[in-house]
Amino acid sequence: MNSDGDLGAMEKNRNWIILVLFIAAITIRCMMLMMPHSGEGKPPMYGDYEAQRHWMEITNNLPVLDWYKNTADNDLQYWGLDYPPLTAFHSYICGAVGKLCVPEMVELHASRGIETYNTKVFMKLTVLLSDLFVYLPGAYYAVSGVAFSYKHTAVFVDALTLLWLHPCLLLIDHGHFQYNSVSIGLALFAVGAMARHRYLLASVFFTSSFLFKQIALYYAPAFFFGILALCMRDGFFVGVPNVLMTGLVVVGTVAVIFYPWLATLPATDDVGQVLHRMFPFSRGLFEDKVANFWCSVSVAVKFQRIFDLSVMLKVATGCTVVSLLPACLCNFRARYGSGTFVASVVASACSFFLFSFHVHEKSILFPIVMSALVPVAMPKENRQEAAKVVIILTFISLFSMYPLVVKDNLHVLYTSLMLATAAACELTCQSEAWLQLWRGIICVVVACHFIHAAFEPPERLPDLWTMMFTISRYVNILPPLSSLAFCYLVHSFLSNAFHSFLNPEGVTRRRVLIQTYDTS
Amino acid sequence: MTSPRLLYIVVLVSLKMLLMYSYKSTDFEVHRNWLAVTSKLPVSEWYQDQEGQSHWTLDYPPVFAYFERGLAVMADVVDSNMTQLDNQEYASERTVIFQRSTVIFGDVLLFLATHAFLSQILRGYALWASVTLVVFHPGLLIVDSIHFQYNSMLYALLVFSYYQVLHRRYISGAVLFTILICAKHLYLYMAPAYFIFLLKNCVLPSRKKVQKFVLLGLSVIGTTLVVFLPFLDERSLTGVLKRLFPWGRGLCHAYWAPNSYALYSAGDLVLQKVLKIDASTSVGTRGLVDGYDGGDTHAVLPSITPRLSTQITLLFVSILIVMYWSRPPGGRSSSRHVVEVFELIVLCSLSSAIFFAFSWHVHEKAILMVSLPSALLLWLVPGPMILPTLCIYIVGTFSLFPLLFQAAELPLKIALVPLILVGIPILAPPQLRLPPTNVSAMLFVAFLAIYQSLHPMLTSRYPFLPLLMLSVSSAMVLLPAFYQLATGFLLYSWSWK
Repeated sequence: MNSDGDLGAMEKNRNWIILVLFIAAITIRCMMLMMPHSGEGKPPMYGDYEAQRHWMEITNNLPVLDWYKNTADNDLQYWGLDYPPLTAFHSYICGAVGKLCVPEMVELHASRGIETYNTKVFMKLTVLLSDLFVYLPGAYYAVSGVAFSYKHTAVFVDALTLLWLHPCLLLIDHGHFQYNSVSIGLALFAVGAMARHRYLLASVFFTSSFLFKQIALYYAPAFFFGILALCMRDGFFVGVPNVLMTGLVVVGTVAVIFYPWLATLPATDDVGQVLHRMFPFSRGLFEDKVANFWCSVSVAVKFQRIFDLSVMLKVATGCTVVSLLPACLCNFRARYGSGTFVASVVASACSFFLFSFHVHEKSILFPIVMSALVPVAMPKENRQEAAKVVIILTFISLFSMYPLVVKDNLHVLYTSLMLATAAACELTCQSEAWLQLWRGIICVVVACHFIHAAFEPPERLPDLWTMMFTISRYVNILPPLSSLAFCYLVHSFLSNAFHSFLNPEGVTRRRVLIQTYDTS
Repeated sequence: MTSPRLLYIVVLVSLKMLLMYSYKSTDFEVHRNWLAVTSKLPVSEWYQDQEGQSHWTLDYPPVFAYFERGLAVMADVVDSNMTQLDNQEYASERTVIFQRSTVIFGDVLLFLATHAFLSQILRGYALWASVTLVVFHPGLLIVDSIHFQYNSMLYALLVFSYYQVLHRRYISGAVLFTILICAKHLYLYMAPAYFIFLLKNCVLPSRKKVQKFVLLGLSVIGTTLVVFLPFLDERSLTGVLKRLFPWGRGLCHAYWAPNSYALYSAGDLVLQKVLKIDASTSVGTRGLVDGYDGGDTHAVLPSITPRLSTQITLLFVSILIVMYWSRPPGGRSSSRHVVEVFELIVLCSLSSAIFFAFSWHVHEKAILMVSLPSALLLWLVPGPMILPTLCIYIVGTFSLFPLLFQAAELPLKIALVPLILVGIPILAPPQLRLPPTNVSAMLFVAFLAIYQSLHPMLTSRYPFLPLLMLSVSSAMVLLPAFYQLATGFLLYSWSWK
């Protein structure tokens, strides 16, 4: 992927390289079209694939107000809609196209559990096209906005490669089957807009992002403080109207998207029903085996048994807020830049992932995809280290998704992505210390896989199962530790970045760059 | 610094693994059946017809059969049901993954052979671009990784024989080539080229000509005898030969390889329509494909018989041989061996091109016989020859698109079109100049290749027409490219850089 031609040739051919990379990204997504998906061949509930298909079915056959309600035609126990309305509208569009191509896929009730060849191809194509129209452009917009120095093609292309071919996203979206790429793509658009100081546009994009998947609220504190900082940049009295304008834009976007439900507002509590589906607080501290702080620590100390659930809720919230505040408040420092903002977004998402309530293992996607922007946004001194940390963290996140892979029989896709990411890590970690660390990590990962495969039959020996359970817990120590390490590194980068910002020459260069963006 | 070769192999394997679940043609069942046949039957029965068994009979020469026998040992460990004789259409997940992994192993071998060979001649970016062009050949992707064949492994053997020739080890090169022919007899397309090359460059320059000739001949014949050792009685031998050379088939394969007969037959059809001649059912497209019973192949234009096609082919091969023989040797003496092996590769591809264009019952997959050597050549040929080589590479790949006719591969085909049209010229040498006529021709062929898949969705009339047009237009680009390659090679005396 990294061209080893001389730098001049790369600068000249930069646009061609990006074009080929774009086409390659699409081709690779086409190649994995027939991979297995979640819940394949597993009645009665199947999996996330069936959930998405079911939402296409109900959005295309039922009136809007019934989408989130438990009616005779819409059984909420069978994959009821629990994502915000933009997902519902997206499902509606996909289902409408599906009606033209593969009508048996969206027939009310009759299409439950349908898994024919044509429906499978169609569903995979919807993810591909969503990627093509939302995620890939969003990634480019973000990288081109955030790039600290436009001259260094290699860093730019590396970040773009990682984003466009992100292994975790490919595994979850194209394998397990979800539409995270739309939400993350919209968030990337928002980050790109922020880098270009267009905070109103950013707020529209970010609102759409979390109204597609509420999990994007992981980024919310960073965006809140970032936009606030941007508005207040020119002083308090100029800032307040900007803030009010932003607030209006956000409320307006929400109103537009929630319009069908808001229209019935005085009469019924439809909006409440939607919100209730979006934020189910009655679930537990963590679900399954996730690389969360609470889950990992529960090997030693079982917090949920010691304290009451409401207490744990407060503790979790407290930890989250404490861990994300420093990064977000950095946005208020005098020398604001996109590196700061990107770092605060990642820190915010990491904090939520590590400490908050009922985190799903797929939520690692949100911090990790955004972290691909960090190296390209950093000034030169921090860039190499950031790149190494990011790629190793991507590898570990991919590894932490292994339980999902086992459930969905996605071993082939997983192995392929692990090999490619390992090659990328090997290529990036060239200094002695990092190489040792990387080799150590890969040994641990291989050992874990070997143990997991070797201790495969649990039912013959019951205590072996317990051992496997324990070992898979240990497997999950690695991701949260590295996320913590990453948070720490992010914070230290921020402080380093500010020391470089205090350098007046650096400030002038930034101003020039900012002005370049304003005129473009 | 980790070895770049290891990283390349890792990326190669990871990319090829993504295609494990894609469409498998009947060739998958063919190879599974061969695993069963070679592991369960005694050697003498391998090439004999068995009643009640699968009709996908062994029709590759013995080396491939031995290879399948070796694979069957591992297959038994992976999934013992795979090698059961009557387990037809068996395609459990383990079977698929195992078989696909063996093809990927062949791809890795191809990379190692190509890298070893090209690293003797090229350096840096040229080396890696050239290796990528060969190893990630989209035609190889379509035929090997999806459709399921083992061309990459066999081609690795060919490159390895070139490597021996590069180091002047002519006898081991000849032996390797013989083993290759005994693995897939389609490589007989290249045999005249190899033979004449060895004659000119190994036998003729040496002082003991007769001795050298006898030595070469003995090694070739000896290898063949060793390979055919279990089959040397009359019954087995006739069985083998009957399977390897089925003469009862038609002039064109079902997909109409883009050779001269595609143009000839298309012209015949056009004339039928124009002159309003009502052809009987034995003539026309079906008669061309189904079987040859000695009757007329064409309604208006003169018929083609197997003898006639062989005569035409041999005529052009002899022209090639004569013109090559009379060429003066080029290049400085220090790089003479590089020039030699380069001549060998061009000769092989030209010989394959002649056979592809003129022989009987050519499968459209055979375009790989011309396209793969030309991929090796792209960074080696002098300026004027780069363009026809590139045309053969790109248009040859597009002509393979009809092999993937299922819905899941259509997005891949659509995505491959821009990737090929943009990526391949980028990886080509910088001296390449693409004139607009060539670009528009390639675009037209690409459009037809995609349209051929979309046509059934749009209308049910003229189902065969897009395929016909694709074959005809590919032939109209490929045949002139073959000619340009030949003239560029034979008529100009140039010195190697």
